[in-house]
Amino acid sequence: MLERRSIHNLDWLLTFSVLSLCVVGLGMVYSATAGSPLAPLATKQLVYFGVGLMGLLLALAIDYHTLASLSYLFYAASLILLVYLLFFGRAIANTRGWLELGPVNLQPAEMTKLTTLLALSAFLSRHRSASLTPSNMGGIVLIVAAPVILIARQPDLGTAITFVPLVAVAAFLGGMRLRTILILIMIPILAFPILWKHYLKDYQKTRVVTFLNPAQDPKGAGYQVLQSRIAVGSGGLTGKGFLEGTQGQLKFLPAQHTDFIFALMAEERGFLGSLVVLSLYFVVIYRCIAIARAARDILGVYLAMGVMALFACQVLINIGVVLGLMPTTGVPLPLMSYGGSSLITTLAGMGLVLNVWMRRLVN
Amino acid sequence: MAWDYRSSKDFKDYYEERRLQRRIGFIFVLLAGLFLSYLFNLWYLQVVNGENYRRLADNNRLRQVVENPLRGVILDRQGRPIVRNRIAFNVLLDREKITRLDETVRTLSQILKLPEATVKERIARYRNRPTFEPVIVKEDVDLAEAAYLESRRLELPEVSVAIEPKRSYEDGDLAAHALGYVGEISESQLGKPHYAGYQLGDVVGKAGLESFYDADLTGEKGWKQVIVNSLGREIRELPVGKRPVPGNALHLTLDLDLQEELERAFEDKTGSAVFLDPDTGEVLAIVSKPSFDPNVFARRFSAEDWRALINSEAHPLQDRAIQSKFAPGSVFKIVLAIAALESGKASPSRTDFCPGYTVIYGRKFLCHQEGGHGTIAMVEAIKKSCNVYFYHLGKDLGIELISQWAHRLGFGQRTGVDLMHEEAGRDHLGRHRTGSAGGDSHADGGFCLAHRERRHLLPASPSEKPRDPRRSGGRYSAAGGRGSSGPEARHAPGGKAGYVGGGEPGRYRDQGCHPRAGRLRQDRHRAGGQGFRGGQERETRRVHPRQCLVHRVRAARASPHRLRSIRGARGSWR
Repeated sequence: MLERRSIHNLDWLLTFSVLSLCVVGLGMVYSATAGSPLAPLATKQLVYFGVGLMGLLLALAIDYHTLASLSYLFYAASLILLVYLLFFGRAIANTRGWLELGPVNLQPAEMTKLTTLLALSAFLSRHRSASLTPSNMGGIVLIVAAPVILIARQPDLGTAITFVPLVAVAAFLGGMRLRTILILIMIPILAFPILWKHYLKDYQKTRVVTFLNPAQDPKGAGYQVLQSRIAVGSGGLTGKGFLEGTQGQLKFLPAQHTDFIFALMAEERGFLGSLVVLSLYFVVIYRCIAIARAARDILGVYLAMGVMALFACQVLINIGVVLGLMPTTGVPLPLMSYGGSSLITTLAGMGLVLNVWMRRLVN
Repeated sequence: MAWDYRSSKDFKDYYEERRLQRRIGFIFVLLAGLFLSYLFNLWYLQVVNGENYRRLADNNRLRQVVENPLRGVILDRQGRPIVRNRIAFNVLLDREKITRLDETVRTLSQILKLPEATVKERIARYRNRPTFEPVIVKEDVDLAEAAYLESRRLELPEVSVAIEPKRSYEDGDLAAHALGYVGEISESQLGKPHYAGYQLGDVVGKAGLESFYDADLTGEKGWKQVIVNSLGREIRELPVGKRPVPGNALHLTLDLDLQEELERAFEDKTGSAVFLDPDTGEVLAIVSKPSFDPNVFARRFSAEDWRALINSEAHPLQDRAIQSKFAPGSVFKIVLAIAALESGKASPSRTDFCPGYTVIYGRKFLCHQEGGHGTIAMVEAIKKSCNVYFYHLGKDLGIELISQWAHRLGFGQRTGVDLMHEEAGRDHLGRHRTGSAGGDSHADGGFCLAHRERRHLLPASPSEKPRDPRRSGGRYSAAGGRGSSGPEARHAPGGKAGYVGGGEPGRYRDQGCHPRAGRLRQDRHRAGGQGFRGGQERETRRVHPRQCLVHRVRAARASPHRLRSIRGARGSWR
């Protein structure tokens, strides 16, 4: 499966960026948990990293065409797992989305992102058309909606939202007409007031309001955003130094080993660190797009663009929250935040992209 | 069945390829734009506004903590400590480390011999405090308990023993009223200008010398800057700040030996006594009984003791030496003598005949000596405390002169002693001057001692009836009423002790006692004048001493050994 020459066809820039981000992430998880009861998490994350690398190799080794032919199997399996979770899942932080496997807890919703993407790509490469047909659009929506609804029922809206870019990218690349796109953009803007009035829960409203005006409630809901901005801002140009960030080490920063790990990094490493990390993330995205462009077939295009969309969307949402540009959601920063499921899934996704690159050339 | 994804060799047709490339390109540009805007945002946040945010971060983490100084010690006239600071061991419970609350509570209640409910209640009291703040489970445990707990730190990691300096009144209730006690500043005190600069939770003197000399005893607060975490827990101390300056030591005029002797003589009787140095006005001993233990106020869990003190029928908190009023009794004979001599109305050689009684306004007044003293001159009359002699002398002098001289000798005024809430004696003569003089004015000094309505300290009850002042003076005051007040006086503790008796100046270096004393609940009337000041007054024209308890305030360095031990302990506190 993995031929010798394939090694030469590995995208080293992408691999390097991904691994660098993982290493930076490990360091930041260590910094976020050092000297606290959470300290063992850094070691745990290292193990997850190892598992993730194996996932990457696995996703790289098996030809993505083979994976695509098995995609409906994966997809069905993950749906069954999600249904199972609704009844027997372990609840952590009010979310019934955890699968207990011995000493570790996994979030199958994360893996579902990849199986959904595989199914979606397989579907679109089978049903090709000059422009997006209603049946194709229906297929895209159906394939993505099933897991999203199940995940939203857990309820884990943060993870559910990260599926949206899949639909967007698939529909966009599938040839949706520009006029339709414009209409689709207008609908949520117009629908927002109704949504606000009837469907948003109070805590969701609070999040939006405090996002718009964090100073309104500095000790309550605005606390996280405020402390996060203080952490990032106080890092200055060069940062306070590793393990020296006062916002992080003194625990003013909330969820600093997960959702706000970027703030911790920005505080301890300053603007230069932020620049490096942001650049690395951009290189990953750029390479994914380049690989999509170079892909041999449309399946590869969808796969690479899908992984890229999932990845970029999470990065932008997470850092957007950290900078106070977006309401708090609870989306982890790919490759850096603590969390085995997210790390393994992201690495496996990267394996898929590398897979596409490696097999870009027609024999 | 299975779709061969690899067989679709005609991957992308021309239009598809063009569309994909265009749209992928669009996505790339969009993302690049977003990343650039994020980068710009980071630059703005970290580089442009970095300083502002750094200040905000410092505000988060740096906290100024006040360090309380040690309160000054109080020493007697020979430098022996009366009030010190001692090290108290408090048992603390760190709620963050509790794994099983029930077990901890059970173990603690066994070790500390407290009911489980009490332990739980003390923990519950901290419900609204941050969890890192330890709960004081028991205060002031003895060394054995502290050592027992310290040796079990491994089994009970959540329990620790902390050291706290505590006010210690070395001899319990000795001179308790004069010394006073300390407590946390009250909200009403905080509002007063006298207590400017104090904060809630500060310890201040609440009564007696502790209150009067509070400014000297308090010392200067220090401060330090500490780094705190988001929970407010102290993480580290920064090398800036100011060490607290301990309060000054008070050197009292009191003599510990004399005070002890006086207290012992009082036994469990009610009343008060004051020993003065007539040359200087220094108070050598001052007693008010019944007394209380000021150490009670230094404890936190003392609500019951407190209530007992406040509700006690005997009113142990009242300082009878400076707040109660008594008939001066035979002391007033001296006043009459001075008035007569100074005004020239009589000479020391004035003689009178004492048949053992006299009749004034148709009423018979007895002398204490049955059968009388016979013919007697002034010096002898003072020595023997002849009532009849002074009844007659008082009549000769008239109310105006007596009042004038009593006033000049300090009756009816405050002495200005350095204690809080001193009450002036009653100048009843003034009242008589304007109105119903003569009639009820007793010959034993012209003071109306009886018909009094009380105005101070206790509400007058409508049922109260005037009583014979001589009885009250004799029975209840230590010093106020020997002499003229008849045989009951002998039961007065002062009389028993021998050197306290107001009527017999001269036993203790010739300065009398200080019989402005002893208002009781039972005796509903107050005696008029205040105590014996004649002794000093004789020389006072030149010196005019002021009565005082403190003759020196010295910097705390005066007793380094005592303070260092506590300061050392404080260093290793945390």
